[in-house]
Amino acid sequence: MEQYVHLRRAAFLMCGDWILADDLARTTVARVLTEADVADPELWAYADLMAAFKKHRGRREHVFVAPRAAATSGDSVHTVLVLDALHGLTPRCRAVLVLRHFCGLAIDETADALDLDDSRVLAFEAEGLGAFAGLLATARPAGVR
Amino acid sequence: MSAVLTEVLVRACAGEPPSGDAGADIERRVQRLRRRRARSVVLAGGAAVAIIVLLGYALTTVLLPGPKPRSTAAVAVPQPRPSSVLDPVLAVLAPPVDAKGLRIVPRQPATGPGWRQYAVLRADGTPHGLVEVAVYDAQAGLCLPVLADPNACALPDRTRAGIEYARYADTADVDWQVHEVIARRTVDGRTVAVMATGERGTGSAEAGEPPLSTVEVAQAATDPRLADAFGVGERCNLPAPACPILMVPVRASD
Repeated sequence: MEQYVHLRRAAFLMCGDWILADDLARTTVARVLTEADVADPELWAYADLMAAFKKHRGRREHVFVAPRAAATSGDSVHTVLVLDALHGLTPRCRAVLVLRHFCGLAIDETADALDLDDSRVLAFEAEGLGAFAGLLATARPAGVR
Repeated sequence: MSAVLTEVLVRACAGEPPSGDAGADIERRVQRLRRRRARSVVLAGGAAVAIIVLLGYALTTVLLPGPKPRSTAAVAVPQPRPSSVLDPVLAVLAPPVDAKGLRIVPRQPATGPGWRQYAVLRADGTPHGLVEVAVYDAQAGLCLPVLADPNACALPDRTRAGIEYARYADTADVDWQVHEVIARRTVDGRTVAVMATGERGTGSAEAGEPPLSTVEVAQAATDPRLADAFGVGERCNLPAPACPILMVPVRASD
């Protein structure tokens, strides 16, 4: 169940849609439970989840627009800003950021999950961090939390 | 920077809705996936079996030679022929007969399982003898009889095509002159006996002469087309009461 919750959040960061994220996370957990020969179920689950987004490519790309400030709480605004920044990235770059900085995977694990070279992972990560620099700069002084 | 980004990402998930009946739903999905996989395995197995069967059928059809005497001997039926023109046995026998200005035609009963008989006629339609052909299966070997010694086996002649044969001629009785050849294909034991009999009861050596010489009978009997002209499973191995009675019987030991 804990894995499901974490997968759901990772999926949400990837697609920005809780309904879709929930569906993909449930499917991924079900597939993990039915896979007989998996050496590392956690890593396999991340890889499977990210592979699922290839099928959903084109959906929910750049649909996140900042809502009117008056109508939303601080967390909601933050969520939309983060999702908007994430969805300004290429899907692979976004996946690298999510796997490395939300799921806590190492570079080689991320490379395995996304079927990339380590150097490509590093390049995507640098690109993603660059895109987030502005958002992080505003978040840091405020203490974020 | 990494820790800050992690906190930013975690905070972005703050508005997470409740997961509801996730546990039960995941269990349902697991069951559905297992059923689907079981179905896939069954379908793949069925498809594999079907492919193997089709492949086996295709290979046996393409690779195996046509006449297999022993394997399909259970069904012994005369092969229907549309006309004498298309009779492959006649196609082998006719050339030497035609060369002499004679005609060869099926003689009723002309055909049976493993045998054929033909009448030879002169140009004016008068009979000039009979040609009978019978086939046998003799995979285990064949003792080619020696007329002078019923207990001996003849040393056969052999063609380049791997057919061993023995020729017999009995013209002592002018009223029943016979030329006969027994030929056995060594590769599968398929044996052909061709017997040419002159017109009987003429009282004349010349009038009762068989329509084919022993050489011509041997050429016909050792022609690979003649053995192949008979259908799969056709044979005159004993008991075969309908088959022609040959002057020199074939003692096929099967």
